[in-house]
Parts: sequence; C-alpha cells; structure tokens
Amino acid sequence: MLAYLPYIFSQLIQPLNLLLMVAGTAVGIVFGAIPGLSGTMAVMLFMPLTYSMDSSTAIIFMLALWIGGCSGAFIGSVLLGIPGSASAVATCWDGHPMAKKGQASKALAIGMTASFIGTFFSAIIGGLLAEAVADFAFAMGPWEYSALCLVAMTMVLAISKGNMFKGLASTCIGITLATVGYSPVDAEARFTFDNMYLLGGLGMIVVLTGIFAVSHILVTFGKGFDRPPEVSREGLRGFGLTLSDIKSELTNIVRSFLIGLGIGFLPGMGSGLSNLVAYSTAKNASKHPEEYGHGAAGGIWAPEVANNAAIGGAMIPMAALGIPGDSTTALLIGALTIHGLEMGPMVFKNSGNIVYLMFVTVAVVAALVLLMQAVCKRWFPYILKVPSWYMYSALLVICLASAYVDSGNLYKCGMMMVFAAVGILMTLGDLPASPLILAFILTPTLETKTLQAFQSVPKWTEFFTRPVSGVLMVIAILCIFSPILKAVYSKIRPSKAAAN
Amino acid sequence: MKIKRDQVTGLVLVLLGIVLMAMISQFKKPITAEYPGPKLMPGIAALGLIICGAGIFVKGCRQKEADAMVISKKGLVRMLITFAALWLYILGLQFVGFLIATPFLVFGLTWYFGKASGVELKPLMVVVFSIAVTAVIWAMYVPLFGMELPVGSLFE
Repeated sequence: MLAYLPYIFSQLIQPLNLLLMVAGTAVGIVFGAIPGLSGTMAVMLFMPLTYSMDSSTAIIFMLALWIGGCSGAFIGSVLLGIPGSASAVATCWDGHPMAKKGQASKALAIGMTASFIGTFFSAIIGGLLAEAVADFAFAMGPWEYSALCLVAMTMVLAISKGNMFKGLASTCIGITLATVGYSPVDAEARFTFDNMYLLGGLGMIVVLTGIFAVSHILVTFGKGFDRPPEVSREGLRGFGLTLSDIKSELTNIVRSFLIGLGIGFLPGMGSGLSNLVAYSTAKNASKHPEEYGHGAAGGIWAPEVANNAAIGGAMIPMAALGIPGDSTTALLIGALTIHGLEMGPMVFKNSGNIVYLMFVTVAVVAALVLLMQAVCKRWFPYILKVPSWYMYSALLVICLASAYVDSGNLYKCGMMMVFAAVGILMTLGDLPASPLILAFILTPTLETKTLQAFQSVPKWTEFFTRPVSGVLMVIAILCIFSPILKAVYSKIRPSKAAAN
Repeated sequence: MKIKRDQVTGLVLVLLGIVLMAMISQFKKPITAEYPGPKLMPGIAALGLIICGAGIFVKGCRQKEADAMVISKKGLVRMLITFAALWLYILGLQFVGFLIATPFLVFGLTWYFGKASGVELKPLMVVVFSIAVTAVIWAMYVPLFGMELPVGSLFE
C-alpha cells in the first residue's frame, strides 16, 4: 500500500478532484438528510456524469456522494424524527427525543462524530484487510465463486421481514432482467424480441433509476407530498460535544463499530441492518436501558457508529471479491466496470493504486464530512425545508437526462419509464427492492462463473463436494429457508418454556 | 369475498413465470446435466417466480382481512398524470430537444405537484425555477462534463 501513497496523494490534491470531492460530499449530505432521498439515489443519478471523467476522478466523486449520503442520514432522524434513509432508522429513537428536550446541537454533534469514527476507522481497517481477503479469494475457482455469488444473493433474504417468498420473487425478477441480451459464454440472444437496443442487455442506470428513483418519486407523490416541516433553529450553535462525552461512551462506540464492520462485511447486508443490531445491543448492555427511547446519548452513538462502520466493511468484499456488501456497493461495482475496473481478487494486481485510492478517499471524505457538518450545522433545518414540489420535479428531469446520457438515445428514456412502471407495480405488490438490485448486479458474474465451472468439470455435484463451495452452498440454502426456520423455532420455544 | 393484495401479486408472478418458461423453451441450446447453458439462469428465475407466486397467493388466501391500499385511487390518478407527462416530455425531447422541452415539463410538474399538495405557488417563481433548473442541468451535463443532451429533430 505504501508504494501507492505518492499516486494517491497526487490524485487527491488535483484541483478538479478536490472540487468534485467537496461538491459530491455536499450533494451527498443533502440527499442523505432529506427523507425519501438517499446517498444511493445520489450515486445512481450522478453516475452518468462520471462517464467522461478518468477513473480516479470518477471514483472520488462517487465515493464522496456515497459517504456524504450515509453520514447525512442522521440529520432527518434527529431534527424531524424521520430517518433520511434505512441506515438511520434507529437514530430516530433517541436522536429526536434528545432534540425535543432542547439538546438538538448535542444530538447532531454525536451523529457527526459517530459518523466520522465509523467511516474513518472502517476505511483504514478495510484498506488493511482487503488485500489479504483477495489473496485468499485468489485460490477460489469458478465453483466457489458461483457459490459465493449465490450466498450474497440469498443473504438478503435471511433478513427480509415477513414474507420470504416476496424477497425471493424480487431476486427472481432481478435475475430475469439481468439475463436480457446475449448470454455469456454461449452468446445466445435471450428476451430480445429482435430489438437491437436489447441485444447488449438492459443498462444498469436505465433499470435501477427507473425502478428505484422514478417509481419512488411517483409513489411518494401518489401517497401525497408532506408540507415542509417546521424545524427549530434554536440551540444549534456551538459543537455541543466534549471529549468526556466521547470517553463515557467508548465501550459502546467500540462494540458498535465492530458490529457495523462485521455486518457490512457480510455480502448482501449493510448499514440498514447494522444500525438496528447495534442499537439493540447497546440498549441490552446499558446500565440504564430505561433511558433508551427518551433521548439517551448511547442510543445515537450506537446506530451512527455502526451504520458508518458498515461502509468500510462493505468495501472489503466489494474490492477483494467483487461481491457487493449492500445496494450502493452493488451500484459502485457496476459503475467501476464501466470505467474498466473489474472488482475481484485480480484488481489488486491490475489496479492496486485505484483500490487503495478508494479506501484513502473514504477516510479523507469522512473528515471532510465532519468539517462541513460542523460548519454548516445551523443551516441543517433549511435542507429539510426544501419543498417536495420543487425538488421532485427537478429530480425527474435529472433521472431522464441520466438515462439519455447513459445510452445516447431516447429509446432508453422510454425503457426507464417502463421500469418505473415495474417499480410502481412492485411497490403496490409489496415486493422489496434490495434483493432485485443485488440479483441484477450479481447475475452476470454468477452465470459466467457457473458456466465456466461446468465447462471445467461437467458435474453439478461439484458444488457440494468441494469444501469451500459446499460450505457456501449450505449457507445459501440456510439463508433461503431461514425465515421458515425462524418461524418454526419461535413456535417451538414458547411451547418448550410452557412444558418446563 | 374481497380479493387480497397478495392473491393478485401471487397470480401475476405465477403468470409471469409461466410466460418466461414458454419463452425459455424457444432458446436453441438445450439444458443438460453436463452443461446447463443459457437456459439455466432464466429457468431458475422463472421457476422461482412460479413457486414464490404460488406461495404469496396461498398466504393471501389465508389472510383474514384485506390490506389497506398502499395508494388511494386519487393518488393513482395523480401518478398516471405524472407518468403521462413524462412520456410527453420524452416526445418533446425527440422533436424540440432538452432546452425547450424541459422548462415546460418542470413548470407543469412543479405547478401540478404544488396544486395537488394544496399549495398555491406564484407563477413567476415557478417560471424562474423552471428556467433555472433547465439551465443548471444543461450546464452541468454539456459544457461542464462534455456530454450531449437531445437537441431535437427540428433543430438537427
């Protein structure tokens, strides 16, 4: 890594890169703060802008959008009691009550500091561990790789609440969309209807922006826009946090950091889960659990450290294995492929400088986010007051412009509208979105590796007889059936307790 | 008996799975135990959709009460109008290009979004906003990042 430091430094001090880093961070914070938008949406909408950039500039810009979005999510949670995104759900439970007690400045300062600690240190640990993981993955063959992709796709099902069939159905829709166009290895046209625009497959921007951004805006409008909230600016002066406040929560911070890092590392999971697990762990470990839910500082530290620590955790499998840790890393993998960077074990050999640039950029952006948030804290209420009617009409134009820029033709804009309709139907049918993203991004790798595996040894039993792929297949099967197993277990447990 | 949301979702997924199966059967390369070929992934997806659709349908049948509508009928109409406006905008992009079509769309949508939310917006404010949004997005994509936005067939 040290050998790459001069390159990394030279990239980070380039004026254009610095400018885009600051702009990306600011845009990301705004997207993260406003409920309904997210850092993922920011990356999705602005990704086509990076096509004309060189790969290092593009990476710096996209990472700034992502980190800004992740870190900004707590602002809505604290000031409105509405999470900016799923990663800040648990922050609402104590952040908003603390703000209502007149300690908004302290709640925001905890959010900022916790976000910085989580992101900064997880990026450093990620940078140190990723190459070792890649070295291990280097020994994996196509059977093991296929099984790993399968685990990533199915793990998200293990945490799907309610109906596992819906999670699986969403995965199947993602697989179907990913198989449009020429098949890998055999080059057979699938679901193309003799349409030349479909031969190369459905573009990532077209599918994901249609299903997630356009449909989200239309559904939000269908449900009815909320009026801009009344947010008080009182008590937002000063930083609001002392060193002793941090010291008193040190155990909670370290524990939540490890939870976030671990969950982020698991393929298919991410900050959406880590903040909930860290919160409940902190509450259970606290000497005063009764204070949680009423503005306890620990209830803000835990989810905010954990959801940001998941960033570094998610970047390890992204860089070392080419497997996304969450929806945004799935998008980033797709975007980096467009820039000629194939994530996976080989990336350290081929483009090690770019990979380490990624980790260092995340750490630098974490510091930049803290600085920007500390300086701009008193203006946070204005971000939350942006009227939806102005914001969403502008965003819809950006969505369509992205689809056009991505492909250079209006046909893809029309296709994006078709996928917006698919997204609306999925919302009406209560089908979750995350499994679709992961399946859409992972299917090409899964299919290519599986077909290569069959070409090397034409026996499907190899999946189970090879030790690594065997273990991974068992994990995948357990993930698929885990909702059923959980339901059976919860039925058995009370009856056992009654018998005793 | 009231039809439940999961019953409809389940049926749609089963039908989708069956249609996909029929389409997959047209692929030339056969699926064998030695080499699954291009039918493997779509086949898994189609089978998965049928099984999951059936599971969701059965769950819907067991449900005692119907779910509340995610979006009201009025909301659905609002969505359809916005959807239609976006299609018109794409047509506009085709003929008159980004710089002319966009201010009209932004004005129309902002005005409509505000009206539907019970807010009376000042027309001049919306006009200025529409022109500003168009100018900023155009400046960002075209001169700043060297990309192209539709010029319109009338001006080509």
